[in-house]
Parts: sequence; C-alpha cells; structure tokens
Amino acid sequence: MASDRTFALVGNPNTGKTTLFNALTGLRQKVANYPGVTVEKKIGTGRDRHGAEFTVIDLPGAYSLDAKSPDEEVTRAVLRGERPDTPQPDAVICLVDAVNLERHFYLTTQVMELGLPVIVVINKTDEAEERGITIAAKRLEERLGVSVVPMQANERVGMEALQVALSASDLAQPQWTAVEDGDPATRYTAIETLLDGTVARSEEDRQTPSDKWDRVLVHPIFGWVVLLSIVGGLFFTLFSLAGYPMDLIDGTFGWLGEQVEARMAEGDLRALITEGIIGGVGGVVIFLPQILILFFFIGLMENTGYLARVSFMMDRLMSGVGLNGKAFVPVLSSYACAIPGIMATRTMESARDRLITTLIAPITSCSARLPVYVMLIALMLPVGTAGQKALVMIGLYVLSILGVYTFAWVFNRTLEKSEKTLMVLELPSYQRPSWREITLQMYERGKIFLRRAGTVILGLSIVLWAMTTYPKSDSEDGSEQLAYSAAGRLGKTIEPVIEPLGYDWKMGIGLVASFAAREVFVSTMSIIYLGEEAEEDSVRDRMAEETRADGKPAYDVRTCLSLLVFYVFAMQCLSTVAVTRRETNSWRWAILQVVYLTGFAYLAALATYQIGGFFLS
Amino acid sequence: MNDSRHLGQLTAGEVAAVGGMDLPETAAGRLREMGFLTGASVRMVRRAPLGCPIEFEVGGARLALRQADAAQIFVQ
Amino acid sequence: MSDWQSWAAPAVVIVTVAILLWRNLRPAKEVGCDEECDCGKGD
Repeated sequence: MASDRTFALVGNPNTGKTTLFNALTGLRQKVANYPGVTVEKKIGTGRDRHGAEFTVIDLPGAYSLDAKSPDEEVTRAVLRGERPDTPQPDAVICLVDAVNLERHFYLTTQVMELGLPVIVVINKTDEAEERGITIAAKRLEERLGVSVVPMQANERVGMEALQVALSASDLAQPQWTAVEDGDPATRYTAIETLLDGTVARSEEDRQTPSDKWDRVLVHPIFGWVVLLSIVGGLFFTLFSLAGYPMDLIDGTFGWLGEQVEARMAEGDLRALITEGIIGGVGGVVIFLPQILILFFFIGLMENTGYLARVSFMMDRLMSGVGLNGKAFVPVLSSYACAIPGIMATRTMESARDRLITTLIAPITSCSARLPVYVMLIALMLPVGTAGQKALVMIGLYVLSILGVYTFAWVFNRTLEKSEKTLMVLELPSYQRPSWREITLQMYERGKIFLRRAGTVILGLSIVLWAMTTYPKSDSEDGSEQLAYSAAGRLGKTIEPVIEPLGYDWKMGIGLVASFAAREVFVSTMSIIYLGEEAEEDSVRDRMAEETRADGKPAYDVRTCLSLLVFYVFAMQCLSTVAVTRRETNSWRWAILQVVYLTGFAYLAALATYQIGGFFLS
Repeated sequence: MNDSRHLGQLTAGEVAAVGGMDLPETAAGRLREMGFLTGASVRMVRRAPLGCPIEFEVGGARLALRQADAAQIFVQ
Repeated sequence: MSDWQSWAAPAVVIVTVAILLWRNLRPAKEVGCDEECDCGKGD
C-alpha cells in the first residue's frame, strides 16, 4: 500500500477516536492483531487535499504512555518506533475531549515529548457547548505551535479544517518543554499552565443531561427494568425475528445446491460441492443475521455510552468470580454465538480478564446448540407437554450459567495474577447514537466473522465430508456407507469409551461429526438413521424406534439427558477454537479450551448417566 | 491512618479532597493519572444498584471504583 | 458415476488439508500481520 505519510491516532478510550478514524478512512480500513499480543491493530487510508494518500493507525486507547495494560504498551511502542511490525508514524493526531481537556492533555503532553509532529483535535465541541465550556483553540495553537482543530467527529464537523492540517507539507513539532518528573502531579501542573486562559467554564448547575439519563438508567429499580428489557429484546430478536433472514439464507443455499445438482453429473465431486462445501459453509453463513444483530445491539450500547452503565451495574455480580462488569456483554453475547462474544472481549483492558472470558465463553449455550437441544428433548419426552420441555430447556441454560461462573472462578484461581486488579471504569457522557458508526462497525465485524468462520469451516466441512465418505463401501445404503467410512470407524472405535455415558457407536459418529460444528449433529443423525438427509421429524421418529441389543430403546431418558449434558459443555465448534487461537495469538489456550471443556463434558455426562441409573431405569 | 475517612465512606453528593493512597504503586499511579491527585476535588455521585462500584466525579470525568479500592484512598 | 469426479474429489480434499495445516501451523509471529489480515503488507 503506497502512501505518503502515516499518522498515528491516539487518545483516551471513549473519546470518539474510532469515530474520527472512520471519518478519515471510511471503508478503507483493515483490522488485524499485533503479533504477540491480544491487541487489535486498525489501519486505514485516506486522501488529503492534494489527493495524496495517507495512512492512519488507530492506536489503542490509552490514558498515559506510562503503560499499565497491553493496549497502552502497544500504543507507546508504536509511537516510539519500537515495534518491528509497525514503523514509527510520521506524525501523531492527538484526540482530546473538549469537556475534559486537562485529563486528556495528560497523554497529549506525553506524546508531544516524543519528537514527532503533532496535530491536536479537540472533539465533542457540541457537548462542551451544552455544558457551557468554551475553548480558545487559536490561543492554544499559538502556544503549542501546532494545529489545534476543534471538531465534532460524529457529525463530521471540523473535518475540513482537519484535512487542511493533515495536508500541510511540513507538519510542525510542538513547542513544549518536557516534564521530567514522573509524578503525575507535576505534569498536571504543567498542563494547568499550558491551558491557563484557554478554557472558560460557566458556573452552571452540574446536572448534565447525562445525569438526568443516569437517574433513570442506573436507578435501583428502573435501571434493572431497562436492562432486562434490552436483554429480553435482544434475545427475542435473535431467536425469533432472526429466523426470517435465516430461512432466506437457508433457502438460498438450498437453491444453490439444487443448481449444482442439476448441472453436474452424479459423482464424488458433486457430492463434495453440495454436501461438503455448500452445506458446510451454508451452515455458518446462516448465523450471519444473528451476528449482525448482536453487533448492532453492542454497537448501539457502546456508541450511546450505555455500555459502561451496564458494566457499572453488573460488576458486583461478576467480581465474585474474579471477572469485572465489562465481561458481562461478551458473555451475554456468547449466548447467541461465542464468536462475536470472544471478539467483544476486546473492550476489556486487562489481558487476563480477556483470557478468562474467552475461555468460558463457549460454555454459554449458544444458538447452534438449540437444534440439538430441541431434538433430544423431544426424544426424551415424546409425550411431554410444552411446559415440561421448556423446563428442561431452562434447566440446560441454568446449567450453563452455573458452568460459566464455576469455571470463571476456577480460572481466576489457577491463572496467575499479573497485576493487582484495580478497576477504573470510565462512564462517558451519553451521546446520540451515530447510526453511521454503528452500521460501519456491524459491517466490519460481519466481514471478520464471515472470513474467520468461513475459511475455517469451509476447510473443515470438506474434511468432514471426506471422513464420512471415504473409505467407500460397495453398499448403496447411506447408513452402511457411513459405518464403513473413517468417521464411522472412529465412532465404533470410541464406542467403549462412550458406553458408560449411555451412547452407542452411531451416536459416537454424531458426536465426532459435531466436533466441527454442533448443528451438524442433526444432519449427521439423519444420514446415520435414514441413509440420507431428511426432515427432522422423520429422523426423530426413526431415532425413537432405535433399540439396543437388549431391546430397550436406545434414546431413553437417561441417554438423552446424558447427551444433553454433554452438549452443554463440550467444545464443539472449530470456528470458536479458531477465533480463540487468533484472539489469544497462540494454540495453547485454544487447545486448553477444547481439552478442559470436552473432558468436563465427558465427566458430567458420565455422572448424569450413571446417577440417572439410580433414579430411572 | 485508620481514623482517616476514605472515599468509600462518602455519601451521595459529598465533595472531598484526595489525600494519601494505600495502594500498590501501579494502581496509585494509574489513579493519579486519571485525576485522583493529592488535593484534587472528588464528588461522590452514586453507588451502583448493587452497592458496588461507586461513581465519582473527578477532574470533569466520571470514574467508577470498587468499594475495596475506594477504601484505600483517603480524604484530607 | 462420473469417473473423473472420483479422483477430483479426493484431490480437493488433500489440497484443503494441506492448506489448513499450512495456514495454522506456520509461525504465528509474523511481521506485520496475522491470520485474516490483509493490511497491505503483502501476502
């Protein structure tokens, strides 16, 4: 990517840095990871007034270059040119908040001591105006000798001036005497001198508009009402409204499969394409609506500033197990799908907290488990009422919540604490949501999901298809063919291991196949019992008829419960493993996830089956 | 310093000046950077619905701290 | 049954496995980029 200059964008978290970054780069941005750390790297390009291209690096939010978190370490390292993967930027755009100039200048003054040209952007001028704060930007400009641009980034107010500043052929270095003393008090004194006479505050009532909102939203009663409504609304949208676009996607992929079948002769490659590729990838893409909805809700909450309030309210419930309030949304999101949930941990400052949250995210009963739950519950209670079935379903969710808390507690105890956990949660003032920002974020995240899950799942679907197809038997019967294949043999091989859980080798194949993705369970069962893909009801009926060697039903209550418990805990989503691997930048944690979860699932299912034996059969 | 009041004891709306801190250097440093300087004026805004954390206004920003941490920041 | 498909399919599978292994087992600490990034540093 040839570009003339590289600007680094720095500022405190919650300053609207992302908004400015978006304003400068539009859709021309990429998100990746800094090698070696779980810190997000955002780079984009823009064009200045001369038409020349420039690069912008959106550095992680930092309060100070005296780094106290991996995010801040990266910011410092990049600014000082200490990262081999990222060359030192040519200039720095320092974003400060008009409402809180002094505090934000803490970082800015540190940046000004690095010897790089600087452009200062004073953001949220609208809010300052509302609060009766006026800033003499010109005077500041004279004192510092660099461009000082007042802006309101979310409405793109002031962009022109920023573009002018960016396009200057020679960018000025700030006139600033370095503060030698490490004591924050000294720096703040210097800042006071710098800003003296440039900021005027009217002595009005301190009740800001934000406060009025907070009185309701963080109210001991209303606060919960609002939160529960939002969570309820989220889940309602996810599990019912999302059904429409999901059906659409399902239909499209089905149609695609039909087209291929019509145009290709019957054969292995055609089967690979229709069952392996189209089926596999379709199985992932079908979750896109839910992913987008999730990121919409998260984006909306974050953009308005409400997300911090959620963390504020939930912190007490999470600190007991060593998490903090910021873990709530990632964990909640994981109830739809752990992938965006794990991605959402990027908002958490502590790497350790991020890790723990990532490790427990898959225990949440994600939506992929739903088809499995529904099928098994129906098998378990063939004549049960809807109420009874719902009760079992709720029980499964409660079990997963218990699992989340328990394992959070376990990990908190076992993983070494790197630093004393001081939590400082900043509550930014509320903002009108910027739909443009939210949509942009949804788009970017959706893209990542598709690419992430798509590439991994595509590969694995092909592999899985191969495992259920080769070696080929002479039989025409689909179920015999499956038994002869590698997957079938694997199922038979593990049979002795899973027998104490109440499973037979056919279920074994289902388990093995689901390890790529849980939803595969239903279609695999279909092939095992009916030799081909069929309607869920017919599969279930056939499964209900299945008997063991002794004539008793294979899918009795004990076995079904055991299977359900297994599915609650087992790590059966290679996309999630892939995301974990990427987010933690190592295989270690991803593998640990699979091992501990599946191991525990095994034990839990074992216990369920054996203990069930005392009460039931 | 046991008879000194600390931030965790402030009531809603009460304003106080920051005194000493009984916290590890990194934590204390972070708090100072964020505005909890010695002598800085802090206003207790509200407690979270479940009692913890506590929202403070300091240096123009709203920052929430846990009770345990706030208890280590003394008041002049 | 189409004969060419009988070897084409396994060929695709082998290539896929090779790609999967290569992508995931190569050293993760590359300069500049990680897995799904195409930040322009060449790939």
